[in-house]
Amino acid sequence: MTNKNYFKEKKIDNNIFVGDSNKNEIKYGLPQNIEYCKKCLTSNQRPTTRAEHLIKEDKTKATRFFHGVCEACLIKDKMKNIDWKERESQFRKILDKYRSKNGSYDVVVPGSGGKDSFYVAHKLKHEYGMNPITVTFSPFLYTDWGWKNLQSWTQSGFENYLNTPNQKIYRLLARIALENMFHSWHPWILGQKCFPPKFGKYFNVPLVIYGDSPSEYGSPLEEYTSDYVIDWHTCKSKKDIFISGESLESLNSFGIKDYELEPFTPLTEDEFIKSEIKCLAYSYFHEWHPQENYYYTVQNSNFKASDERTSGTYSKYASIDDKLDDLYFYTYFIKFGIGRTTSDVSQEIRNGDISIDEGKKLIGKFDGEYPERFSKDIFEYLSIKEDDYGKKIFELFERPNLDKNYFNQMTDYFRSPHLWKKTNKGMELRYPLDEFFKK
Amino acid sequence: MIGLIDAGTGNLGSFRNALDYLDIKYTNINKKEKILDCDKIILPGVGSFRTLMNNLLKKDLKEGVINFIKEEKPFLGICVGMQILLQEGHEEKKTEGLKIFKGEVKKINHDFKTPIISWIKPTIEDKNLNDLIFKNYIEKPFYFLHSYFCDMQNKEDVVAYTEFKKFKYPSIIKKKNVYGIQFHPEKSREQGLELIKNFYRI
Amino acid sequence: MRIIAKLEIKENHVIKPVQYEGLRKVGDPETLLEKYYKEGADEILLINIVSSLYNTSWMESFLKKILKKVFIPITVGGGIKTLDQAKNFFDHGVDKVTICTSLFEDKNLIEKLSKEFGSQSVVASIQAMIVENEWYAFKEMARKNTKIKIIDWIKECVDKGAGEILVTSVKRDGLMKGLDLDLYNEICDICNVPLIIGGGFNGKEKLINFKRELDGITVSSLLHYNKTTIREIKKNLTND
Repeated sequence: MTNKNYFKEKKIDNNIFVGDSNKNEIKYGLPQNIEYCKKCLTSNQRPTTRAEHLIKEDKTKATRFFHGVCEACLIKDKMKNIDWKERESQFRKILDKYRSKNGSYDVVVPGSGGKDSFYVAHKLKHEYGMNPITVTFSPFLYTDWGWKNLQSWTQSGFENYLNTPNQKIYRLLARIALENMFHSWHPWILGQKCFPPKFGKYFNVPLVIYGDSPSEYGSPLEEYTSDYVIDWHTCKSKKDIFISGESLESLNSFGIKDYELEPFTPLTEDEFIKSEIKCLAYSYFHEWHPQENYYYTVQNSNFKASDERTSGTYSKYASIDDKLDDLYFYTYFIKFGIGRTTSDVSQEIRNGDISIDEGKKLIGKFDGEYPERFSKDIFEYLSIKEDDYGKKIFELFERPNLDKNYFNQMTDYFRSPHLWKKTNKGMELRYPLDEFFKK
Repeated sequence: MIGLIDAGTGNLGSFRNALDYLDIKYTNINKKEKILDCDKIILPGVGSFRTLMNNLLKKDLKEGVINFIKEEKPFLGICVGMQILLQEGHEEKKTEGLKIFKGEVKKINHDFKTPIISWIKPTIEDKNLNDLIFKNYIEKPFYFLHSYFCDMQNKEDVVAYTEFKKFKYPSIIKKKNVYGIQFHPEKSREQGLELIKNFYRI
Repeated sequence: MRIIAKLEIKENHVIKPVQYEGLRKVGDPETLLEKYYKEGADEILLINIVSSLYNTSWMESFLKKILKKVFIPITVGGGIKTLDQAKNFFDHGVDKVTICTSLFEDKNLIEKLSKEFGSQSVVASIQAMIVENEWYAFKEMARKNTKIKIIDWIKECVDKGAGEILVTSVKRDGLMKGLDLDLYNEICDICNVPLIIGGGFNGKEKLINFKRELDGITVSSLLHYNKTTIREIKKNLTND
């Protein structure tokens, strides 16, 4: 069995997007009719959380809508009736069970040292009297400010374990994920979900507290629970695992050894249960306002927002540590028709920071922005060179070198015809936000 | 009826707000005929001496204003509106003023930056405090914003001086019915509004 | 030295970003403006801080109301691009307009405004950040480095007719940890018009450390969070 050109060149005649003849062709299992939330402007094409390590092909579960309103907004409405005092008291009871009696570590706080993880770690230490150990799964390519903010976290009085995977494998997996699913971020998401519970097991600190839960953003109501859904970070058996859309067996056949895939491999459900690990979302027990986390962080540390606007959106303080973010959100925009701005806007509208009108203007201005600023670094990072990887891996790719041209070509390959059309202006959304609200 | 000269320069909006606040009725003077309706006139001004003079000429108001003053009716010029009451101004070119007061408007040239933008207390000699414009005078700073000053020939015309970083210059001038104020009473809180009210009551 | 109360406005709220990020609401514009007026502010600065970034323009109803009862100089800014917009503000009684981002898009804007309305009505506003040891002018709510050095930009703005320059230190803004002394001392000698400095004022600055006498400072967080009053600020500064 030869693996030559295992990853075929992604090419498509983009004239299939001209006119309406293919508009009923849908990729990724998305809903045919496009709908935008009248409260927060996100669309029903938005994918919800899933067990990333089971993904063979990119089929998503889209965000549910009810009478024109998305599930995140409905959950937010329900939150108005929550007795937060009661929730906080539940939180304290849980912490009381895990709080160390002899000055040892008693809670793992995963994060990047950004506003949310800083906030959680700082609160746990200073308000709740816990002994946190912070853990970070390394971004692909650190931004200057991202690295400085991680340092600032430790300078503020927190120990941190940074897990940096074998960068050659990391890059390769990112490229494979891009080829298979147009989702270069996939290995990072795996690592970010897998590492904290594993760390908890190895360090014997079973309590893991994340900042927010995916429910803040539109996962189904049934998943809005205090504990993270176990499926997200465990597997029934290692045989079931897919990384970047390839099985472990397949990756082994490329010459990648199991230990090199360890950072991206979750615990089994048995291991997880046996170690009695508990993964919680801080946001389940407290009113969660990410922007306020920023204010808190900036007052209590040397955290700095980035020096420039984040590509694809209007802010400069949220998730700013990885250059590859820019690419991820752009590919997300291509696949789902909504970009980083929509994501930020819908959260900030729900939290009362911006109005619907402002949101519409911002989406019109920034959503789907081409990831120009770090493109050189990103394309170089994701290119497979024979000198770096050897012949066997190099020959897996029909187009090993990733440049702007090939990337743009791939972009069309991964567009869903039900979302995109080709006109004399280029590729356009069939049913953009402003048109939806005109009717 | 108070007339507010609208010569296209000046923050008429601010003045209107001040007069509304003081419940003083006024009319906008943008044509010479309207001058006849008024028994008092206020000429606000910001910007340049030259522009204000040119605008008065363009709107055919210059003659009407001079006649109004000759008839000894109360007239108040503010900032550049005060400066054009003199003989001439020295911006890029020399410009003729209304020649009501003897003196010239010159660029402030001292060891500080211009324009002067500051809250300063004017100094009023006791003998001048009797003037009607100083009724209930509140001795507080007023808001100054200018790069030029009035270099007066006759000391008697000067009712109040101001000193800014050791530079002393006239801030209120008066001759018969005509007042000139270098600062902006419409931007000087209660103390400024009081002056405007007093002028109205003259 | 003028104490200028700065209110950053977004859609009928006063907000207070930190380092030009964040939209936290801190009060009602009319209420705070009147409060600072009564407390003795020398001037008011009203900036719709998101205008250029969001592409929104403004003339809120509260502004028209407030101009009828507040009699000190008022400067407004935020997305001002045209003479008509400026004229609209002036007609309502605003004294000065302040402009930042639009100056980079229309290099003749200051000249046009100062010719029409006079230099005294135009304040060039600069969002200053240090990058690799050089101070640069930023725009769009400090999200884009124009790559123009602040010293050059100040000179250009003054040449074109700006009556005042307002420089805010982006990294200090909203933190109340003190004005940026290094920034001020770097630029104070080359600015020939009144220079207003802002960003981080906490009232504990030692005036003697500033190379030149300050013309004016902007204060926002300190007032919005009720840490002190204008009266206290003035008292402390004169005692220095």
